[in-house]
This record gives sequence, C-alpha cells and structure tokens, in this order.
Amino acid sequence: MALPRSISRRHMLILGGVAAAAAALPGSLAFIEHESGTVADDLISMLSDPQGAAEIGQRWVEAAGREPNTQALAHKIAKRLRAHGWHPGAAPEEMRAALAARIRHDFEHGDMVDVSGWQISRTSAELCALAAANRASLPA
Amino acid sequence: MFIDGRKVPEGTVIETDIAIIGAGAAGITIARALKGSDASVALIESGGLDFEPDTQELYNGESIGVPYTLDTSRLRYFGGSTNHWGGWCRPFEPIDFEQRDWVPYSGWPITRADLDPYYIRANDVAHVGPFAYNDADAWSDGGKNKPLDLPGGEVVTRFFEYSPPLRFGVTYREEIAKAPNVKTYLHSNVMEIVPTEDASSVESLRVGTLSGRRFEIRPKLVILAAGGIENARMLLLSNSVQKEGLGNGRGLVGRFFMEHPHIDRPVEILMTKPDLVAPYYKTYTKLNGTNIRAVFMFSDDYLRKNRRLGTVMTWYQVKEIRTDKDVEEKDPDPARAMEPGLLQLIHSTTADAADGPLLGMRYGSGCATEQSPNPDSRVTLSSAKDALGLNQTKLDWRLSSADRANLRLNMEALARAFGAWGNGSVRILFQDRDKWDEAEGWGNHHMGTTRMAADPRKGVVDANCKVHGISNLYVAGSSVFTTSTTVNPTLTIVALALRLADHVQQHFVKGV
Repeated sequence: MALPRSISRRHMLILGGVAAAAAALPGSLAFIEHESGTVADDLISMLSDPQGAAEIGQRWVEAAGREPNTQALAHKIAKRLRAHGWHPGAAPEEMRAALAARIRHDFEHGDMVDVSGWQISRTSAELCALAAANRASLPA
Repeated sequence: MFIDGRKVPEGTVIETDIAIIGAGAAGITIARALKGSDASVALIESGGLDFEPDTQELYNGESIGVPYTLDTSRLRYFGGSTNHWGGWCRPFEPIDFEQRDWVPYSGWPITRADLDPYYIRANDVAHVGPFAYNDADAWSDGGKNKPLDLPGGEVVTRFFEYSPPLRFGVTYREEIAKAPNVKTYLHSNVMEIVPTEDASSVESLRVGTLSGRRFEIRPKLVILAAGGIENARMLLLSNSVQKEGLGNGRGLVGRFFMEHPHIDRPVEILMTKPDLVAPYYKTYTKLNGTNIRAVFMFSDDYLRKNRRLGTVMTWYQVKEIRTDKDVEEKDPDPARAMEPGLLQLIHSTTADAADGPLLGMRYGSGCATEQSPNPDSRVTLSSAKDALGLNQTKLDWRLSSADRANLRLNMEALARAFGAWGNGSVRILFQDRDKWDEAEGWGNHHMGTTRMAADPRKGVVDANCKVHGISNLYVAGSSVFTTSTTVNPTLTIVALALRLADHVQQHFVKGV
C-alpha cells in the first residue's frame, strides 16, 4: 500500500516507535514499580534512624502540602543516584557513596529545602519523606 | 599638660598650630604622632578624665529611623569610646575599598595598600599582636588547630585579633600629659568651628564649658575627631557663615550614616564531629600571647560573583546532641526534636557513622553585616537643644530590605558550604521578610557621615581626609568611611589617624 502523501516515512517510524512503547508500557511500569519498591527498601536501610528521618520527612511534606508516595519518591531518588554511578543491584556501599555524592551535589548547586529553618538537600528531604511514607504504609 | 577648660579665664584667646577636637582613639593617636614635633597642639576634650553624667548627656538626641540609643552609644571623656571598647581588631578587606558596581556609592579614593603600613602601626598603637589576620598557620598551635575545610570557596575562615582592650585615655594619659608641645583642654566643648568670611578656611573655634565659661582657640589647622555622629553634628552646627553648615555646600554632611546590624543567632549549626572545631572558633583563644578568634567571612569571589555585601560570623558551642539523652522537655522550640534525627541523617549519608551515643554538637552564632550606603540614612540637627544651647542630633538610621535580603542569602551560602562539606547542617533563624525587626541590634559603630570621596560632589572629605573646599580643616574617625565594610572600625580609625598625622607632618608641620 502506498503511503499517503501527507505521511512521510519519518512520521511512520515515529508512530511505530510510539506504538511499540505503548505496547511495552504496562510491563515497564511494573518493572519500575518493582525496582522502586526494592530501591525504597534499600534507601531506607541506609538510615541509622529511620524514625528520626521520618519525622523530618513528615514536617517537610506537611509544610509543602504534599502527599508522600513511596514509589514515586524512590523512583525520583533512584533516578538521581544513577547520575552518580549507582545502578539497581549495586552493593549498599555504592548506594551510600552515590547518595553522599548526590547530597553534596544538591548543596553545591543550592538545591536545598527548608524544614523548620534547617537547610536540607532536596535528596535528603526526599529520603526523609520516603521514610515517612514507608512508616505510614506499615501496619499499625 | 592637662588644662581644665572651666578654669580658663573668660574670653581668653588661645593661639595654636593644630587643634584636635576630641580625645578618643583618633584624637589621641594623632596627638601622640605629633608629639615632639615643631607644631603646638591643642587637644580639646568635652569630658574630663573620668565619666561624668552631665557631660555624657550632651550625646542625647532624637532617633527617628531604626530605633537607636544615642546617649549610651559613645563615651564622652578622655579616651572616648575606647573606655568601653571590646578590643576587636581586623583590617578591612581590599574589596571593601573598591568601587563595586552592585553597591551604589561604593569606592573609596584610597586602597587597602595605601593603608597597609598604617594598619601595621595601628596594631602596635592598640597593643595587638602580630599582623596575621588571614594566616591560619600563625594560630595553628603547633599544627593542632586547623580551619574547617568548607568546600565551594564561598565561606572562608578569618581571624580577629584583640587589643587588651586598650583604654587609650589611661594608657596614653601620661605620655600626652608630658608631651611638651601638646596641651589638652578638658571639659572644653567646641561649640562652633568658625570659618573665614569666604568659608575657605577655619579661623577659630568657639569653646564653652558646662559651667558657662567661654573662650576661643585660634588654630592654623583643625582636625575634627569627635566621633562618627558628632563630627557631622559639629559641621552642621558651624553655620554662622555657611547657613547649611561647614563643608556642606552639597548637602552631604550627615548623609550616608551607616552602622553594622548585629544579629544574635542568625543561624544554628549542627556538626557531627565537635573535635574538628578548633578552639579558636568557639571563644577568645590566647595563642602566641595574643587573644584571637576565628570567624566566618565570605570570599571576594563569592561577593563579586553573587553581588553581595559582606557578613562576619562568630559562633560558639551550645549543646551536645546524644542518643542517650532526651531532647530537653522545656525547650519551646519544637524543631529541637529534629536535631538527633538530622544528625543521624548526616551520619547515614555524607559523614562517618556515629560510633557512640554522641551524635554531634549544636552551635549558636552571631553576626555583623555590611549595610549599603544610603544618602537618606542621615544625621541632621534636632530643634531640641543641649545644655550648651546647641541643637541636639537627630538620627534617621535606615536599613533597606536589600540589606536584609543580602544577609539572608549569605546565610544560605553558609548552609551550602556546611551541607557540601558533609559534616554539618545549618538552620537559618534570620527571617526572610522585608522589614528589619526593631529588636535586632547594632554594633555602636557610627560611620559615613563625612564620607571620603575624591570628587567633592560625592563626599565631604578628600583622600587625605581634608574637607573639600576648606584649606585647613580635616576629619578623623569613622565618619570618613565611604562604605561600612563588615568588621569593627577601631583599627581602621587608628590607621587612618596615623596616615592623617603623617600627612599633616609632611604638608603642614614642616612648614610651621
């Protein structure tokens, strides 16, 4: 079948790519969800005082009027850590090193949030919010 | 020789080569520098040798701007405000003298290099130790003390050195008394600097005492050294020939009044490793025979790049934060409860893990900050009169919202530095708002009211501290500062006084 003149071969390729991506979406989401769940656990395991971190996170999300979401926060943090060499399945030391590098990077670039006056790196704040979200999801 | 002005016969006319009005840090320094020269010197002091309430009351005045207490901000007797000086010494930074395009009205007509030799001499005059204000090695105590290695190059450690503090009026009293060419007139208030008819030079000083005595001093050269507010007031009061006041043809006398806003606890700092903090940060520390203290300041690069005014910060240890102690129950600040969690967060991420119950230390802070020169921040004359019948001071001190925002942004730079370092965290308590809080303090540093500028349209005195347009009238003291800079003014007052004394020696005394 001849292509309509208004649809170029380039358009076809683009449309084809979108269709392929759409077909893969549910699987990809499931993977992200799974990965985020694991990452969330790994991130929280970094904290020597998850309860204290959760208190900080709770203050931040309340002040900002946010609803903390474990998956979204873990995904967001993981995405940042990848820029510092971390990858899923990496050893805990590698995660800690990437986390430290990211937090320093936040401060160096002025990416701080204010929690009751304390100037905290955005990544640290999200880590604390993750701890708060995780605490909230645990059975009472 | 000390002479009680109350005993000078009524109507006496005293001839002298040089008259110095005011025996504070600047006046005494200049008198000492001229000691033994060929010039006769009259050092004229409003007070006596000790505090006297009726003389002190001559400082009373109105404050119509940022609330300010005028009568206790200075001391009016021999030695001036060095009689209650804290002794904090540090030279201004080279950048302070520059014209900074982000600071309106900035730019001195002299550089730091012009003052360097005088700063070294000023250290001796004020009995301060070695000139090592930026030299951490000088204060390392055999390698034990190191400045915090904060990354980013924005926040730097600098040092104050302390004068004992030297009471100029006590330490140098005998030397001044014995100087053969110096006569000190106590209880003698200059009521007007009287110029010639064309106001091109000073002809005489009208002097009065609180006991009602009046006499006259006829000097060839006058150095006005009465303080950062009184210098302007005296020029404004000297209005029998020039109605707007002496040296005030362009309406600049009294304008650009500046202070150093002093903020208590602008930030708190948590640190995971108290042992990293050298003793010299936490309090006055005696090293090599000199009392010093380390402070945080902001680097020239940071100030230039971010177009900021300077701030100097001190800090001190407050409280250990531990896992084996509850947060104090009575602390009304709910954010205190965050501190263990916050330190644990730092230990978990950027710092080493805590190896015991001690999580870290909380530090308090204080700061002084530069204010931008503002022509509307000014000293004028009140309609109220003092005991001598002279108009009192009316002070309209103004601080801008930009000055406030500047300080807040400097605190954020501090937070960035500690965060990037990875062993600490900063809590900013200085509120982000437009107005200054009346409760916020100041340093009793009066500056700018007879500012120095090469161009007579922009300042009252020239680079030699001579009043523009008047051949024999000079001003000494912090009123000549073009900008307030960040640190305490006394060392610079003394350095400028020594420089002025040199100038007078070279250009006047040799011709006497």
